[in-house]
Amino acid sequence: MSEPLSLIGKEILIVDDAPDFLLFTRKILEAQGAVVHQAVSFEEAISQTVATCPHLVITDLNMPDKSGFDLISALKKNNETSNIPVIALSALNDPQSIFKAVSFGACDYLLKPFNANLFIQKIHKSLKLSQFQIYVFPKETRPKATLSINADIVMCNEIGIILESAVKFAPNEELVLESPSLGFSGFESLTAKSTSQAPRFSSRGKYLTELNLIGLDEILAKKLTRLLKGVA
Amino acid sequence: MARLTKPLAVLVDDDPLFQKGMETVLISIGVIPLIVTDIDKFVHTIRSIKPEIFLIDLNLGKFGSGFDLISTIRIEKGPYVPIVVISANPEQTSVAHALELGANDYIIKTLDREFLASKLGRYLKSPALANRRQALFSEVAGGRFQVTTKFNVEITEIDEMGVKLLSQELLAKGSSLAISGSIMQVISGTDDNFLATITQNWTEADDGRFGAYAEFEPENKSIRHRIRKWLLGMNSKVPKISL
Repeated sequence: MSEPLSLIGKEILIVDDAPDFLLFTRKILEAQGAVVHQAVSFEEAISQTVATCPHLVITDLNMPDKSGFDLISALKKNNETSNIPVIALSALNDPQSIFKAVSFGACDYLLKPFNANLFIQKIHKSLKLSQFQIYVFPKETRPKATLSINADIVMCNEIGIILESAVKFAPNEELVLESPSLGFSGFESLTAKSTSQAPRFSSRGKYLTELNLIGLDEILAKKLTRLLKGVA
Repeated sequence: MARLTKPLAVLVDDDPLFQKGMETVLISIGVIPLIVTDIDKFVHTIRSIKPEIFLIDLNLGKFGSGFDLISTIRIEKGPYVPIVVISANPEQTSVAHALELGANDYIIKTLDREFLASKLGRYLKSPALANRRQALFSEVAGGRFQVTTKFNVEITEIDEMGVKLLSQELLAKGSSLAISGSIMQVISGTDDNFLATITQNWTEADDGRFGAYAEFEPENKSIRHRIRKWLLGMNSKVPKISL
């Protein structure tokens, strides 16, 4: 038998206009580690779902303004929320209501009053439908991104620097270096290219990469060296 | 004491056939091989010599762990001596782990003379050259000058917790970084960077690049909600195949 999914970190929206019930269910779910959001009306439920994108919505079918059926229907019609599983709750043991809720898109149904263990079991079962969302980009359309990572210049001369960082740079890689201190001295950024020398491993458990500075003339190179060496 | 004119390479491997083969190849390319089979005496052995390169099999069987030897070499010999790890079937995470511990490179087990000459030749020249270059550099004021370094990567997957990316660079586990780009703007609707920490890394077998998993900062619930919303929207558009 497979292990039940943990509720830790799972965000669950409970929709019910009865404060006692909201409190009761919140306590059960928070004891299991879930993050609980609540709503007392259709509008509040829609707004909460859009804002928090919960892993599961649990809704009472009988509410004063629009019913839980309307909520289930609205959630299933929206692309952004159609994959969120919904458990319907009702005090009515009425096959018609159960059938209607399921046909609208509810993945399960629970009669009130219910015991906590059954409640948790239903939630685990429904959460399996709300699988961890992953999107794999097709190879041809993989987007590029820029990573920014802190590093230290530890040594320098007029044509290059030695950079200590948690990144083992490949040879001949171009990178951009920025810092407020460089900015104050008139260098918006520095462009550098790793040399063909393989990075070494420093005693601090980081990589030492030798980089050649690109695009600096002699005057700027001297200015940079004075800045790095702390010479006025 | 006579000065060695040929570089000394220490080989640690548990396969006698491979040892013999490597010994022949190394000699043929002008390298003096020293094959170490007694791991218990490894530290004592290397303290008394000055190898120019270490070749370590990651899978030493009953001999022990190649990973431990990498750490030992770094403690005993410092950061400059090259370490090349050898593996018959390199698992992607093992190679990345070896590189994180301080290895410089890896090779799949081979006795191809030309390949070994080319690969090892790069490292056999570099220590002395690196030490000479070191002499031309001088320390910055205070020993360090902090900068932010920026470079490009490719995103292969996004999930609720983070992103998988591909890069020419190896990103060490535990490193904190910021991710920005057009896809991030689309997801978040802002220009904000996504803060993340590298929790896994590996080598990609097919193209030699490095993969890494960057986990988003858990405290930023707003980002996580937006990512989840984007993912639900993207996955609802994927056509479902009905059988």
